[in-house]
Amino acid sequence: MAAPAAEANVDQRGLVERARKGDHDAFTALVDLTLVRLDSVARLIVRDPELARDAVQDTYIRAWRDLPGLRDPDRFDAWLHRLIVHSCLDQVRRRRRRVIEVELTPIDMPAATDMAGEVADRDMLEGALARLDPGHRAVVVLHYFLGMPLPDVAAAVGIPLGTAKSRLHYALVAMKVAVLREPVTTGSSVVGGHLA
Amino acid sequence: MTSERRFDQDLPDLLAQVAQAPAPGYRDLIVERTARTRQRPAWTFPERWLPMSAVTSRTATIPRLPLRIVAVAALLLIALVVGAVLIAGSQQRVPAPFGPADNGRVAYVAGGDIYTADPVTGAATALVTGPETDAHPVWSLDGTRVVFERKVAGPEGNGRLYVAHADGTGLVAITSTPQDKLASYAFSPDGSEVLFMVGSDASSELWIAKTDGSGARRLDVGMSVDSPAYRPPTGKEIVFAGDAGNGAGIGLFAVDVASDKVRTIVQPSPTMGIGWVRVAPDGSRAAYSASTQDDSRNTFRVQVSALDGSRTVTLPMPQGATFQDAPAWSNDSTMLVVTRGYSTRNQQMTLAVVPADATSVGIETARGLTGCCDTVLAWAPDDRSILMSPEDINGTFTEQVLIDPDTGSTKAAPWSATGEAAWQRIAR
Repeated sequence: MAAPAAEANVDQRGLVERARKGDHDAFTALVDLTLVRLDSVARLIVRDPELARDAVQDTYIRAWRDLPGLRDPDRFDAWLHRLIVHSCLDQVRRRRRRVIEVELTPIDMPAATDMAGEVADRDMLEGALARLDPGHRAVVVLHYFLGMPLPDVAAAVGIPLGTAKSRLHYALVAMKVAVLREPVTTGSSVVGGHLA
Repeated sequence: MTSERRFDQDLPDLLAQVAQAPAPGYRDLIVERTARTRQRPAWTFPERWLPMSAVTSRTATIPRLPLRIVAVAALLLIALVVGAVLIAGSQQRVPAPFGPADNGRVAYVAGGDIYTADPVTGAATALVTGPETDAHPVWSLDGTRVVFERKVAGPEGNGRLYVAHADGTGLVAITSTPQDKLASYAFSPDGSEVLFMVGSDASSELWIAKTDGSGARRLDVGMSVDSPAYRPPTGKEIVFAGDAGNGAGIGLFAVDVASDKVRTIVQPSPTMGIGWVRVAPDGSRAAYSASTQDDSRNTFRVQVSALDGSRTVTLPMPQGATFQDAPAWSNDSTMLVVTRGYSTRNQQMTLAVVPADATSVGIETARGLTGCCDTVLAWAPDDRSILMSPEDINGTFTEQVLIDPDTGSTKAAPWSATGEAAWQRIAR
């Protein structure tokens, strides 16, 4: 699983307890521990760097403001994930009327190298993700990127477990179709972006 | 590209590749903005006062309204409601066993089969048909079933009683042995039994049969029975004219159905006969035809006796009338229709609608309507007309007539019957 876990040796619980009591330095430490992860999650869900940035900032502001209400410091990560998901979905909703363009990167893909294969895979995955709506992307990202069990995913997104399962199933099918059927043109530019 | 089989396994790493990016450049902005933001006091969070499990999973543990399930449930609920309404609507509402009701269909016999007719249009529907000879249908008081006699050996032979649903289905024989001279059958108020009279005039017996065909029993009243009728509203008593024999005469009696205990309402008299007993729908009185022995002329008088035996009145007749006979109660128990004669025998007869309290001679129809014996009268369930099933001078049923009880005007019934007809009661 690729989810970052840099805070393994850090007393996150202690930081949370201190931050709850108004220790902003402790909260800054928590930001440092979690920012990359949240930024990645946000970009994967909203498929727009600026929206992701706004979502992450909003998440941390909410987290700092409401942290005194968190009674169980061990639930900080789960709580933060719920905040980021909802913040992402809020951002998407606010910008829904605006067409969101995914960065289109021409990819030169020498056919014989593994590097080229990885780039092609990443590009196709980006295209597949872009075909999903943010709600489905959130389920995929939480489950496959953060490695969260589906019940926790459901809790974070705020949907029933059955809905989470069906969303995941639908998302995977749609992604497989997009990835496996999309021809890879080697030696030429591939437009891998879609409108979200 | 990765194969379909490996797609799920590769997805985490692929996502990590897609998510790779330089360290976010807005970390300091976050720190700055949060530093300027005040934290909410802990006590302002509902979570502080709720179980810990609610803190991070509150959104999830309060499931979002599952719209699809709600929609399905709503559709099911609607279907249930509609189904219930349809079922309730399809189930016939039944009237109270006594008192005015709405007019249903008229059941009658034609050609040995039983038909029902729309009383307005006369449009007829076969109810019970077949090679057997069926006779004299009588509706249950709730209008849902019919009891009739089926002759087993020709039109004049012995018969058995059968009960059928109002649509002719569910035919059940309620008497097992063919019997001679079945008469006066009627449903009990609750519809569970049918009383009937069987035998010759001198030794008529009173019987009760279960309408499910489970059996019949004779009520031991110790005398020959005529004109038995359930007493409303419970039917716990059967009122009848009884002849104890030995010249004692005929009296009016009531027997307790449960115990066979008989009580006297009108004492028998050697000089008076009682017949054609009809019990008021309110159960308070019985009207009957009383007569004295005189072979030269009809001596019938219609009398009304309280069933507690406290009082008897004789319905008055206008000047010139010689007799009154064959009473029938209105459903509201206030009026009686009778046959009225103006000669020594059954000629020049009229029908008269008379107050049951004997306060007037009432109104009459034109004379000459009927000429003989067992002219049967029955009020429509709504009391707005009276059905007459007349016999001619030869004792043969003739065309049935509807009479307006307010004016005495008459008109021919729009159906063609060859026997006594009965009017179905339906709910208002």
